[in-house]
Amino acid sequence: MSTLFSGIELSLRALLAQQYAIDVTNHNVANASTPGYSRQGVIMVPAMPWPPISMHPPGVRGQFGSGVLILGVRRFTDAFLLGRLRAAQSLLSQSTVERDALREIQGALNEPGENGIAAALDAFWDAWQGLTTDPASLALRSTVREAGERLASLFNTRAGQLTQLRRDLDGQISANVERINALASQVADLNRQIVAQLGLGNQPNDLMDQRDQVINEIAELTGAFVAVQSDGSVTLSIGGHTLVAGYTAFTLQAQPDPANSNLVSVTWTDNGSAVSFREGEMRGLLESRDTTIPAQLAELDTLAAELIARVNAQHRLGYGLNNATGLDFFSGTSAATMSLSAALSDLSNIAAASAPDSPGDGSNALALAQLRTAQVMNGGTATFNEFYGAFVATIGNLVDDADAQVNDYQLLTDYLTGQQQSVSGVSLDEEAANLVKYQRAYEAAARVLTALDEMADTIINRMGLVGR
Amino acid sequence: MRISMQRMVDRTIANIAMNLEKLVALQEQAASGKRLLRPEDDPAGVRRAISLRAGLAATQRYLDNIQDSDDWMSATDAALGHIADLMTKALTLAEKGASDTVSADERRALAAEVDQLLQEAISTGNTRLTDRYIFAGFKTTTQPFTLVPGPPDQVIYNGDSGQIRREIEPGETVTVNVTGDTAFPAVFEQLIGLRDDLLADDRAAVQARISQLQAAQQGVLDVQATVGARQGHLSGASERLENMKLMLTDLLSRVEDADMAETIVRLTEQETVYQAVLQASASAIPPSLWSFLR
Repeated sequence: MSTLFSGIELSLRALLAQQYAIDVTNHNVANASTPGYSRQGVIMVPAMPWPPISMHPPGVRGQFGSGVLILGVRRFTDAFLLGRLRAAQSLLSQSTVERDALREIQGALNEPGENGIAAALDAFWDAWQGLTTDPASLALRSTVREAGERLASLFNTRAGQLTQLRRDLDGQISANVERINALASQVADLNRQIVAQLGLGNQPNDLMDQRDQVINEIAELTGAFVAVQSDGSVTLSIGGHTLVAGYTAFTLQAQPDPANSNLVSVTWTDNGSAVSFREGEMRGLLESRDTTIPAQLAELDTLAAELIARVNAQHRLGYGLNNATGLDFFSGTSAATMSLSAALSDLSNIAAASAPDSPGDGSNALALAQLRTAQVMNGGTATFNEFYGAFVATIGNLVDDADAQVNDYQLLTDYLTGQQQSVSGVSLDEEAANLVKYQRAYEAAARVLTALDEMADTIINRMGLVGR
Repeated sequence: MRISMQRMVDRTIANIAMNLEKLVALQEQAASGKRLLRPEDDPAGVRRAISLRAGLAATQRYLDNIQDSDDWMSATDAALGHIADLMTKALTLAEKGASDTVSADERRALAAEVDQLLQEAISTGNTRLTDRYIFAGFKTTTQPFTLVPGPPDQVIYNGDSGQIRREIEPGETVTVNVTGDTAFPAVFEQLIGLRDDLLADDRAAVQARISQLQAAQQGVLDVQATVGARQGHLSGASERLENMKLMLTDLLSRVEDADMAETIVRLTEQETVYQAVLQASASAIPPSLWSFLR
């Protein structure tokens, strides 16, 4: 049988439940713009009906409801969506890093324009052509020397910029290793707290959000594989090696590798093996540092080496104003080491003539100028200019491709973020509606309580007063 | 689909950023007048631009080479013309000297005049163009002709037979100089001979010189004709190169330069779009149910 006081208890439950739901709504609104926050909702269920199945029924038919019960607070997430979003974000940051590196290479080349290697090459050949018109002129010889100097210094600068870019990426790699270690230990720590809370029967929603957020960052950096264990802890691994298992985090280390210009190599601290990043920002950084930039540098080196060799070979055949012969024009063997040969401090050493005692002979200068159209690159199928033009175009294409890839992953990430937000994001309209709902329910429960109170008042204060 | 507050704000920001990016790119194009600012803008176009620029630089250089070669050849032509004139004067003197009515004294006077012509011919042979001896072959810093007193006097050539060649079109070279060992020795030899014959009062020898003088003069005229032909060749090449330069400039501009009309129209359009996005964002974000409750 229901009693008056059981009704008051029922109302109290209702009041508390609505108040709790309003607290959760408040929490949602407060975190509407918190990154990584998943909206929460109370799970309300009807409380155990009365009476239970019994050998001695209380003599009433049917079961009476006993009000509302809060089962818990759930967090709205979709683990599958989150996993896909992480994968997309990891690819997005990888391709962004690679695109940015290519953009920097492109920027360093400073093409098309008046200040690039192409213009310096044109000026170099032009200076030799100019020298053919007055081979004995010191002014024209000086022009040739300046043009050579400018060309060499541009090659030096470009090679220097690319090398510096590798160092910058290297710095980023080292910093990321620190970051990954810090994040991994956070995950281990959060694992411990979450498992403990779950053990106490609590639902640690906010801790889980926090852990998801940290894992997102790790995944973005490393493309780590994520697995949730039955105890609620999360296991992370990179390239088949465990990063976090339970409460333990493994660490990475970045150590200078003498075999790779003292750039760092990333290894596992526990067994010293190399970390194989399959995706993520780290993969992009390593790929750019060790593959993309060296490949472009190698192209520049090929051009510089061939240019040095061809110009020197022709220059050695000629004779200077002072009959000096067999001298090199450039020294060095690569873009970084290219410079003018020391002999050129004396302008008379520039070998414009093909024979001694021929100050008016510019035929060697002409032969040098004609290297402009000589097909010497790519196994004799391209001129220096064509080779360089193709090199620049290749970088442009690479940037375009990288841009397209970044856009693809950006779209995918946007789409998945939208999906994920539609599950986990806070909608203020929805919260407003909920607030109205819970507030009205609270008011109604309070009104029922008032009715019960009046009933009690009737019994306590107004009954049994007959004849007073 | 549920739309969360954050999603809406994120999308709005992304849309504004994307449209602003497009706007900035167009503004950059309009401001620089260039369509190609980076290799990524059009890799194939950049490659072409690099090659066109090289072609343009080379064409300009060929034109400069032609100008310089033309100066050299004009100087050569003038010098040879002057020598031919001297030979004409020498012939007049020789004809006078070959006459029976001329006395020995008068022949000596004529000889002095021929000697003047000889000196002038030598100094013409030593013509310089901006410090370069134009008839000395490769030895442009060496005076090509010196008179060595005899008897008999001799003019010796100190130059060489170097042919100074310059490139005037890709792969095509032209010889710009005339070496002093071609037409000059005969001229000097005949002038010295004529002078000496006149001094020796040898009328028959003077008479015999006339045809040799004419042959020497013809030699000079032949060389001059060659120079003239080469100059004609230069002006033909120059015309072709000017056309080429015009064409390359035009092509380069087509590859590199932005079509201003189109760029500005697109810029205006993008500005409108950008403003519309801003307006839409301004009216989309603020309202929520909160504004309408009570």
